[in-house]
Amino acid sequence: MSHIRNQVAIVGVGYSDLAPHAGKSLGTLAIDACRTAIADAGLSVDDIDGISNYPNASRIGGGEQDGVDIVSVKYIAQALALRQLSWSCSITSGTVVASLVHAVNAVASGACNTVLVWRGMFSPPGKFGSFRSTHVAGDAQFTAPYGFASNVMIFAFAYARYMAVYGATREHMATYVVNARNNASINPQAVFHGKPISRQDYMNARMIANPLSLLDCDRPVDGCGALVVTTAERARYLQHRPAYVVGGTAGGFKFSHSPVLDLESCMEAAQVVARALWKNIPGLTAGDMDFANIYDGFSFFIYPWLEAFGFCKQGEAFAYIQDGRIARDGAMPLNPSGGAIGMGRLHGSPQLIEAVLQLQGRAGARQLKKADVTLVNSGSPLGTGAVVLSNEAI
Amino acid sequence: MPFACTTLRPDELRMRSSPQRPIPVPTPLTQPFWDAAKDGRLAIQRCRGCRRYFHPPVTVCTRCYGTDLGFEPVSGHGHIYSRTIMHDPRMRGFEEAVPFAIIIVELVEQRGLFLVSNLPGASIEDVEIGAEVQVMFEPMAAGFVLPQFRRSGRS
Ligand SMILES: [Zn+2]
Repeated sequence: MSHIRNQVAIVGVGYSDLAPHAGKSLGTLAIDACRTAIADAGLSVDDIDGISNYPNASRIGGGEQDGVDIVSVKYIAQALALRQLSWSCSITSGTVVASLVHAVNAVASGACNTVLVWRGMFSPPGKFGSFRSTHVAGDAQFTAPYGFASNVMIFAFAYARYMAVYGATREHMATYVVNARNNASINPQAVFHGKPISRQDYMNARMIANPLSLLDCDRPVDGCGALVVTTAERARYLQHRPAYVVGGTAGGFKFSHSPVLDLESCMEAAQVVARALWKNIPGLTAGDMDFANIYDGFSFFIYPWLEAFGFCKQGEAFAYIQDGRIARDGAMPLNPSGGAIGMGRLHGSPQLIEAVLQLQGRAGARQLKKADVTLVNSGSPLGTGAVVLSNEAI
Repeated sequence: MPFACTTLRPDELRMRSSPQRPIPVPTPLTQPFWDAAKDGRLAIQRCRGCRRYFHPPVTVCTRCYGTDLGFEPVSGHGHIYSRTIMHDPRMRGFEEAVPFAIIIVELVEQRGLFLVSNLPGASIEDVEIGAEVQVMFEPMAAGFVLPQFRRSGRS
């Protein structure tokens, strides 16, 4: 039995403005999101005694100017004048759900009581993830001379192999992307609010790195998601129904040695994370979830994650998502917020914040009929956090 | 047997111009790979203790933890493990070359021993996962020679 089970709860959430180019600095957006989350919890900055963040610059070779293209723990501590801090954490992989997992461990251990967690994303001018160098050192000397130096290509290879081995096609993925855009179309905070697409739109989409098209990639946005966690004991006296953290894990490592990511290593990395999650919460399985919030920075990620977490067998996720199962009125609604594909490149907030809103019955037009327990993850199999949340201590 | 490659579109590959490839910056650890390529040989680092190959080269064998590692010639034969067709001109020097193929080659010597190639001169039918390939060598800027692969015609 895990020491954290139901000991900590999410008690407030908030977004900044979210837009392809918001016209505000990332620092401003992060401050907005953090203050919104604290107010949503009915707390004040003096209640915050811990901060947890994944600050990585959202562009390769980014300037990493604090408050401009990253927002560090130092930036927020100063900007919000957090004079009660006794714990802070800045991680290098796993995005917002991994930041949450570390915060939960800290609260459960007694290191602090109430932690502010955020992930801010900067949408740079020009192409996201461009490679601009004339020379290349390190392991990339074996890939970049062939024109291979971008995240989209890393996962295009794994996806192409998945398709070849298991027989998945772009028609199968159309179901996921159309569903995500449909969910986003009724989400006022989504970058694609009011903009559903048809299967034909998806099939005709411009290719980026075949088999990944433009519509398989989340759209870069300026914006920030934030949340506040505290002890379950305190959570019961706050204004919203607590979203209990039933269990969680952070990890995601490649165990093979190569200049590329192969499908088997991708799936193995996901399986290690999933095993750690379920070991943390004995008695629960994917089948106990009312809905799922699975990271979809590239659409392909939902396959290894759905399979690793046990929603279906290995090599069957592309079939699992068909026939209405993942729709809001289906047997396993998936990413009711629209996910990253529908909301924008927010590194896990469309999964985590939506999960909390659904569990609390605050998801508006997207509210699911039954939303009492859910799995949330953020990140690729190579760097992720995963939690199970419930509106009851289960 | 090659896998069917159903998602490539007929317009995905056409004659491309030569890209301006970024120039490798070797270290003592990686220099032998580039030196061998210059001589028209494909050489991969191998642990002399447990005989495992490593690419990219390593400072310690992660199977037996031995440190006696050296470069050995390999056959240059393998198959296309996976592939992408890059359409987006986000790589400096490749803007005029899109769309172009990138393949991952798994060498016959060892499972998971991967190299990257563009399959120069490829047509769509060539970029087929599972197809057999063999090494060739392509001169590039600054005196570097780039190991590449072509269909070996034995599939
Ligand atoms: Zn060895």
